[in-house]
Amino acid sequence: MSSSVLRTEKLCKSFSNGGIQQHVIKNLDLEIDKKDLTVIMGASGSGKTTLLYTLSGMDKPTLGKVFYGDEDISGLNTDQLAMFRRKRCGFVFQSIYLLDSMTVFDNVMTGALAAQKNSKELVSKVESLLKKVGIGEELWKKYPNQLSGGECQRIGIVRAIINDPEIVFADEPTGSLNSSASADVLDIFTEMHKNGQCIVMVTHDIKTALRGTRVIFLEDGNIVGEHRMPEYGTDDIRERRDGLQAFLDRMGW
Amino acid sequence: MGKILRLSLNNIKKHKFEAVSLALLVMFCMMLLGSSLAAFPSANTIFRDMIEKTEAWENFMMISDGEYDPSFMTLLENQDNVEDAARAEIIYDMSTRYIDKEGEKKALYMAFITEEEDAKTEKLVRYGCLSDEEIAALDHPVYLPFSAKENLDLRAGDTFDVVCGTRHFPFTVAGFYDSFFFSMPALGYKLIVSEKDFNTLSGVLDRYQMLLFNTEDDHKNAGLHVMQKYEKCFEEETGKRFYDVIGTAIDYDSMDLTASLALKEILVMMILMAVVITVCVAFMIWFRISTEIKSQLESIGVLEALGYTSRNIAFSYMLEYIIIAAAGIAAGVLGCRIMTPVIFHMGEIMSGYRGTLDRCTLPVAVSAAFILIFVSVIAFIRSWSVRKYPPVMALRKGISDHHFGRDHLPLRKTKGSAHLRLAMKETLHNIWQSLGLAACLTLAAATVITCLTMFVGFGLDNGFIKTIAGIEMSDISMQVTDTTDAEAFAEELRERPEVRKVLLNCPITGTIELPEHNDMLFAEAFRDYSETECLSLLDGRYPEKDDELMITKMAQIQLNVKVGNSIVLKDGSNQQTFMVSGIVSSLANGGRNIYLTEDGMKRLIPTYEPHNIEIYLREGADREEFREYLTTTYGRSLADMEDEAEASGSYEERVRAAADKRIAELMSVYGVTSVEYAITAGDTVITGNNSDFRVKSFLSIAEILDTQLANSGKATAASSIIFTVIAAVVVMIIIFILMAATIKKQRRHLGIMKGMGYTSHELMLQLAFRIVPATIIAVILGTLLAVALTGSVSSLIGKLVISPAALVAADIIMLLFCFGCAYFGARKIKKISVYELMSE
Repeated sequence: MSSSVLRTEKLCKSFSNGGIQQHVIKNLDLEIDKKDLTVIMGASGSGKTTLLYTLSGMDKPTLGKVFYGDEDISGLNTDQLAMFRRKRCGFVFQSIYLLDSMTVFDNVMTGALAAQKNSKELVSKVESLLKKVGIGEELWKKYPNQLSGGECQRIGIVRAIINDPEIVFADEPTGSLNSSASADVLDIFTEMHKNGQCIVMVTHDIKTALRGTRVIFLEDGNIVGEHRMPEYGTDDIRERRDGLQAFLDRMGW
Repeated sequence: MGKILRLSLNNIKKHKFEAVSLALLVMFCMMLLGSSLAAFPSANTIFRDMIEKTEAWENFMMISDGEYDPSFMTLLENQDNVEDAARAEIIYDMSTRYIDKEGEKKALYMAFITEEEDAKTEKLVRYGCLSDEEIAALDHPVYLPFSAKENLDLRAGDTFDVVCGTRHFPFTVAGFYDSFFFSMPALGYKLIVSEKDFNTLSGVLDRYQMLLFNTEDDHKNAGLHVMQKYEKCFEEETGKRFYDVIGTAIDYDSMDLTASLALKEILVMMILMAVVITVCVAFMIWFRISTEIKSQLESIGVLEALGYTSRNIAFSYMLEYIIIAAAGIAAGVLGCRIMTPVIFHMGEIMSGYRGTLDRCTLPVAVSAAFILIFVSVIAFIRSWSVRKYPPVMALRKGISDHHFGRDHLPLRKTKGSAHLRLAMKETLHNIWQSLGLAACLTLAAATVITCLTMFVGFGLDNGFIKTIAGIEMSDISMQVTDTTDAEAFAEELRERPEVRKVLLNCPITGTIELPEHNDMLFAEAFRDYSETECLSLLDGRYPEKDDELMITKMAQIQLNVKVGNSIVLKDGSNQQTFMVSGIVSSLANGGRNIYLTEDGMKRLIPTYEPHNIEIYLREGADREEFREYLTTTYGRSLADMEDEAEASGSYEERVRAAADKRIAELMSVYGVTSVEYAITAGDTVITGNNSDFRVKSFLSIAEILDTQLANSGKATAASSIIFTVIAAVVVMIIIFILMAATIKKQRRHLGIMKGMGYTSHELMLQLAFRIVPATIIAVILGTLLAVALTGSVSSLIGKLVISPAALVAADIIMLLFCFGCAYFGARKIKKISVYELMSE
């Protein structure tokens, strides 16, 4: 029985720029296994973020198909995609994108209420998840501008997983954080993955990529290489880094 | 200046929709303000222009021809302050009707005069006439005043059928003329007819001597004062009651007041509407500049870093709105050119006077300057806040993004719809914007409710006027002949199956003196007021005893009396004290009426006898049919008899006709009250009596209101609808601009929400829900404001209120309209992808 949660068939995405068609993703076939923490790497302009947005239903493919199980989401309209996203995907952004006018707690609740009705269980779940990522009760009534970047990103992660999505997509989740905050955030991702969460992450940072079990390298909208690693923490970190580095060297990184 | 202009034009280009919407608001404002101010001078002079054009006399009194004596004229000429006087013969009747284009009989007050006599009253200024040959070929030509042409939709050559009792007088419209007298719908129309037709009508309708005069000085109410003095002198000299012989009397100032009143009311409403739109424009500019500064802080920082000063940037915003306002004003000026004549023509129809519109451009220029200065000042004050952001702060997006305020409506306590909760959170977060919107919508709601009240009160039908007229409006009002026993006749009519109720009264007996107040009021009497149906009591109760009276609201204020106070009334030398038992609404006689019981009236005027019968029909009874029955059964006149006597028929019919003619003569000439006859002709005995001659005339105020106020009603209804539509368009534009600006301002916020899985439809709902609190507050406040406003304005005449159910329905419709506009206005969010929204 296949454990694939997501697969694409000849996925294409192009943009029109001043009348010129720019093909960012080209006939891409990809399968994401639910056991994997998939890391997508590549040079700037290789189509990493575009691929992530297309896979997550934030954007529609120009051609090709995106299957979640047997459901093809490429034909859904924008509202159907929104409903799909709220139930089946979570998204963590590089710029975090918390709602400035809402408190920490309400930022998570807003995400939760998109898919669920309010209940005591939901409130408890938000509280427990916030505590789990290290956001104490004293911060719940604070606004994003009163928190550090790391704290904000942890809240962003909670918001992404609050509806128990099948896949969490993360676009450079540590891109705007310092090294200490990055490590904290990555620990959370690792923990989530250990608990069975399927994650697809875009990064250009090796430290982040090391947390993955599968690294895909993208070039000009195509997958040009793939590297597999055991689960993070189950092997020697030096060997893991060397292996990844060797793969990236082969890819011309 | 060049670079500032470039910045402004660039901003307008970027926000085309908002710029066009704002220009539209300015255009409406300019059209309403410019048109009303441009029409005001002409509205003010329309009356004086007409008296100059027609060289008419300023005041007139009509004295019944049968009662007239040349000494009355001498008495008038000898009055102080009478400069000059003249006399003309005229027929005036309030029971006449005409047949409209649909073939229906419509009540209409009519005056008939010959061309020769008319020349004594005013200069005949004809227009729209048939050719001389065509007129010469007409059997019964008639010239009608301008107002009749417009109100009755007549053209030269049309047939105009006048109905008097059982007789029809078909005329052909030869043309129209401008008239100072009898051109106002409320007073009736003056018809210029041939001498032959005038003589024919004289046999059927009441004939009067029209005494016309000018006063020496033109102080306020000079004509009225002369008439009041004349009345006293008349009664002293002749020993007769003035109001027993007089038909109608009109003075210059009363005509001046009523001539352009309706037009001025509409112009004032237009100015108020322009003020409402101006407030909305101010709010929109304020809101848009705030939004713009917040969303463009980085760009402002860049500009400042490049060397633009805060003043340059503030001026660029100001210039942007000056350009938008100038575009709106230019379109508005064009609109004024179209709207002003339309409004003025509406006023002409309402006043009955054909005026000349003064094409003075000053009011339009003043309106344009006012709007431009107002927009510039508002734009400058708001945009001047950019000085608070030096480049570094602006580049860091200032401190405005940092939210440390109170957490309104925490989501953990959400019950029911999450969308509603999220919307309310945002509403509270932007409370000042919501309050500004509420202020604009309150004014718009007040306008709509006021228009609705006007429409229901005056435009829909004359229902409200009937309740405040201060006149009992039965189905048929009938004046009986002097020789008829009104009491017995009323009793006879009560037996008819069609009749529900019959009341006796003598409407508007004439003025009664109030010696202690040095004033005079019109008086009316009913036997039992609890039987009346149209007198709306505002305070106290109806008079029940012979020393009680009821007074109108207007008179109550003028005399400063309350329920329970005493008033002394004087008729001739008889002086009696009455207690005020109640206050009543009244529009008739300028709202200056008193109402006594029949016994009370007899106490004051011992000779008083009711000679008016008010007939109320049962549901389903045909008013026209019953009136026809009354006319043919009881309403024959000497003139009718002359026709019948000349007619051929059987021997019995000719004998009966001759006998009836003799009865008519006995009654009208000798005042015989009861006649019975029995004529033996061979074997046949022909009998009869005078029961056929009891009705003198019919008068239906309700019918008159329907006919003569129809166009005023239509104009009120049309202006109410137009103002409501303008208010709706203004509200729609405000909400559209608000939604567009909110989407722009909250692009990132909405993008994040979309990213989390909220659909476009849900976000549109949330955006629409955001304006609901402001709308609810606005419709409630607007309704209260409108009710208070219309209530206080109409308090002098009555209670102009519409049912709470209608108000609630109107409020719900307004609420749904605003919600619909907001939802539709937020549709732009559909077109923006999540990625675009978030990446700004």
